[in-house]
Parts: sequence; C-alpha cells; structure tokens
Amino acid sequence: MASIARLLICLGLSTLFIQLIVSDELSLFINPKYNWLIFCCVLILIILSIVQLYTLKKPDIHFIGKWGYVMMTLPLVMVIIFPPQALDPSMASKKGTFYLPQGNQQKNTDSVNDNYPVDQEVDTQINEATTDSSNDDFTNPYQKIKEEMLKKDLIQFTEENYADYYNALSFYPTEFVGKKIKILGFVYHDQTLKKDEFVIGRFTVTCCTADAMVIGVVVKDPHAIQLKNKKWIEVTGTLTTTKQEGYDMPAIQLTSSEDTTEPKDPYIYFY
Amino acid sequence: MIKIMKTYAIESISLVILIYLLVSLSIEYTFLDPILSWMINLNLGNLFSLGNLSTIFLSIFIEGLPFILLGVLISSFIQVYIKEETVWKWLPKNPFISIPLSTLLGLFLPICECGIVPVAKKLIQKGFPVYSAFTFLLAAPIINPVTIASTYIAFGESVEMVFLRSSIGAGIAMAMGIIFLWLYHDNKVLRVSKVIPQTDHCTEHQGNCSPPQSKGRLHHALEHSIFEMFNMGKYFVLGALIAATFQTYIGVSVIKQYAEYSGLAIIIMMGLAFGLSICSSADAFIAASFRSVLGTAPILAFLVYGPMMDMKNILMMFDSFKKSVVLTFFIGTTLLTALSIFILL
Repeated sequence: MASIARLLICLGLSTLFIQLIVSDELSLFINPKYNWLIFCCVLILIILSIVQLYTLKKPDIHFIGKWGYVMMTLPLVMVIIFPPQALDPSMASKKGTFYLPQGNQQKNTDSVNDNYPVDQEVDTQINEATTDSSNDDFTNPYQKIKEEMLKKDLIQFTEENYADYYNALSFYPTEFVGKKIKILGFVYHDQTLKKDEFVIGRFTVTCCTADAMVIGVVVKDPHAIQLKNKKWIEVTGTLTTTKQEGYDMPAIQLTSSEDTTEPKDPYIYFY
Repeated sequence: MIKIMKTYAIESISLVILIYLLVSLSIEYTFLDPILSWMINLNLGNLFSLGNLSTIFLSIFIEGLPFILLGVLISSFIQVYIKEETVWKWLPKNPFISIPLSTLLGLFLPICECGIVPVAKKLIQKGFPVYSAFTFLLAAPIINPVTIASTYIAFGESVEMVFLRSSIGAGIAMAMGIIFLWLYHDNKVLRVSKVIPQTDHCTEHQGNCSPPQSKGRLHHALEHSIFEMFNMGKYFVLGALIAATFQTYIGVSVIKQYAEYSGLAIIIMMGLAFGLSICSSADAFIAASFRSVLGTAPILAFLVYGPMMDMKNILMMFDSFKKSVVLTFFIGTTLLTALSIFILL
C-alpha cells in the first residue's frame, strides 16, 4: 500500500511538471533559463517510479511516517486547488522594490564614485565616450544600449529589451530627458511617492518567483489617485527626472495611458 | 497470453506509463488539464492571497526539487559505492588540516543548501569525521562556483562583496568545525531512526552495505533514493510552506522601518534569511535589492547566514541528527555570525 502511494506521488509529480512544461506555465514559477533543471527532475522521477514499480512487493527498507506522504502530496493538491497563476501585483508592497535610488547608485560602496554626482559624472562619461569608446564599453556595458536607445524616436520597452533598457535608463537618467517612451506594466502606488505619482511596475524574476522584485519607472500624472492599484496599463509619455532622496531618478511625464490585460508571461527575467 | 502478461507485468506497466507521459508531451494534454481549467473558474486564489501563497510555495518547491533529488542521489551513491576506507584515505588525519580543506569541498561538490543535508549525513555514516562534515555542511553552499558567480553579478561585479562573503563564511565554518571537534569527537551525532525490524535488508546503521553484483548495487542506490526523497521531502515542503507564508503575509518590506538601527537591522536580516529560505544561488539578488536602505553589514549578515541556516535546512537536520547536535549547531552558527559581523564591520 505504502509502495503504491510512493509510486503514485512520483508519477503525479512528473505529470505535474510535464503539464507545466507543455502548457508553458513553468515560466510562472521559475526563470526559463533553468527549464533544463526541470527536465532532469522529470527524468529522475520517472526512473525512480520505475524502480519503485519493480520493488512494489518488497517490504519497506526505511521507515517513512505518514507526514512524508502528506507533505509530498501537498504540491499536487496546491496546484489543483490553486491552478498556476502569476504573482498578483498586490504582492508588490511585500516585495523588494527597484525603482528607488539604488542598484548601481548605492550610497556606501566604491562604485558611488563612478556615478555621483550624476550631472558632472555623466558629462565626463560623454567626453570619455567620444575619446575612448572601447575603454568605456569595458567599464559600462550599457553605454552601447544607451546610444541605441537615443537614436530612436520612441523608446518602447518590450519583454526582450526591458532589462537592458531599464538598466541603461537608470544609469543615465539625465540623458534621456525629453525622449518619448512607451511602457507596459501594472499600476503601483507607493507610500514614499507624491500624490501625483505612481509606479508602472513589473515583477522581475532571477531564479524563481520567490525572489521576485518590483522594478518600474515613476510616472507623473495629475490624476494618479484615480488609477487603481494592480491595474495593467500601457503608458506613453516623455522622460524627465525626479528627485528621490537627493538623487536624480528617471520618471515619465504622462501623455496618454491605455488599459490592457495582463500579458501571458508577466515577469521580466534579468540575466 | 495471460502467462506472458503475468511474467512481464512490471515491464508492461512501466511501458504504459512511459507511453502515457510521452503522448501527453506530444499532444500537450495531460489529465490535469480538465481539472485545472475547472478550478480556474472557481478562482479560489483571491481568498486571503492564497493564490500568491501557492505561487511562491510552488516556485520554491519546483526550483528546489531538482537539487533535493541531486543531493539524495549523490548521498545514495555514496552509501552504496563508497567504502569507509576510501573516505579516510584522502582526508588528512590532523583535524587542523582537514577542517580548512573541507571548506573548499564545495568547489568540487557544488550542492546548494537544499541538497546538502543528506550528503553530509551520508558522509558521517561513512565514517567521515563529524567536524569535517559540519564544516562542509556550512561552507559548501557559500564557497561554490554558482554562489560566487551570482554574488559577483548581483553586486555590480564587485570583488569586495564576494571576498567578504566567502571569507566570513569560511571563517565561521572553520570555527564551527573546531567546536564540533571539541564537543563531538565520537561520531554519535546521528539520530537513530526507526527501522522496520523484520527485514533482512542491511540497514544504513551497519554502514557496510554491499549487495553482491554491481547491477544490484545501482538498483539498490535508486531504491534507497526513493525513501531518502520522502524523508527529506517532507521537511523541504514544510520549510517552503513556511517561507511562502512569511513572504505573502509579512514580506521583505518590513525591514525598511528598522534600517536606521544598524544592530537591529543585522539581527532582522539574519531572521529574514532564515525565514525566506531562498536558494543560495539567488539570495545575492535579493540582498542587492536592499542596498538602497541598508548598509554593508546587515546585507552581509543576510548573505552569510542565509546559506548556512534556513528554515528547510534546520527541519531536514532535525530528521538526520540528534536534537542536541542541531541546537548546538544552530546556536553556535547564529552567535558566530552575529559576533563576526558586529566586530568586523
């Protein structure tokens, strides 16, 4: 009886993983970069269930309490009761956020010298770029992306370029002032922001959804309060900067916004 | 016909299962599909954010299970294939040489903290000295290629953070190794688990377990893995569940209120590392998200303590080791981490 339970759990888990793979829902849980891990996992589970099949009638060689079976069935039960869904934007307030001054602009490490004070440093970086661009590429990989973005009339953030564009934008906020931008995300009101501001945010996933964080750009909109949290919209606007704790941060002056629905894969994958 | 079916029952059943799995892969449909689409309409996920809880729980489970299986397989193969004498042969007898050496074992056995407990347990059962095994248990999740690379990337390619993280981690692991050398010089740290008495099968406590033919050995290792998977799995699932609950209802943003008090922030970040139970290959990115509000010391506390000690690890250890050993381990590591962070930074 116990051996049949073990067999069914092994098979159930491999069916669950295959279900997630074929329905493309695996990306709701882990970064697609690690999909091969899940393939290996399915393979091992199938091998283990075949071994279990061969030893179906043998007595147990170790003791497994009933909790072992209950706990290993739990993931299956959870999937069936709560079918796979993306992290809800209402979680944003519980997660780390990335739109405030940080990332490459932290206060107390060496790299501060590279970035601050912003205006002066950016100027020197431009000079360096004209004189010795190869050297500058080495120090900052986003230099190239920045130039590519500046050539465009409308900077459109998509799932593929989001991470690169976002980094370039937060590295050189002042250089993009006046450029047109189009970006999709969910509305998120943060208490640290002013009344006429909200964040157009996305969840980023590095490894699995457990380490998801919010990234996004501050949007200036006089009617910000009327927008509901976690609504998905597409924003068009002009880039400006906003002062946050003394630092220049990129911001969008809203020209128009459009309601959309949640994309099938709502996460952004860095790295 | 019936006779053939009877003799090849197992083969035919496994064939049926394999065909089922292959077919479901190719036509992109499994029997879970109708159940799931029916449940989506019920939309239970909005009740008390249970949907988010489930998403985070499943993501930890799905990401961690391959590593659990890897750890379980490695430990089972150690159990079946490695003789006690071989482990002893290449490890220096002098503990003050072997303890520093075991901090570097992670470079060759890159197991993250999800899979390390069964491996450490098996090493001890095979006569590996307790102090070395615990040093390995603590150091391997920090000093391994994946963690080092991810820390390097997450902190804007800064060598300083990688160096601080690895060296403090190695220091604490060695200190704990010496404490274990002093407290538990005999190898009696393992919990005596219930073994079904009437079986003629050799139990893990006799240590020397070698079925005659090599084919039987492989089979035996795999069979062993199934049981190990369930024994480790229950604590892994419980840990993932607690971590997901913490993330859903409390969240990391709590920290920001305490950022001004450095000492308190260090303690809270250690608690957070314990509660979140994120894989050591990803926690650097979480830590990086705190850089706007916290200084280096609390972040380092998070980075060093997280891989050594977290919810699912402690739960898995309670299954493998004696209670007093786990408590010594827990208190010792916690105090050492807090002290070293306070003194050094």
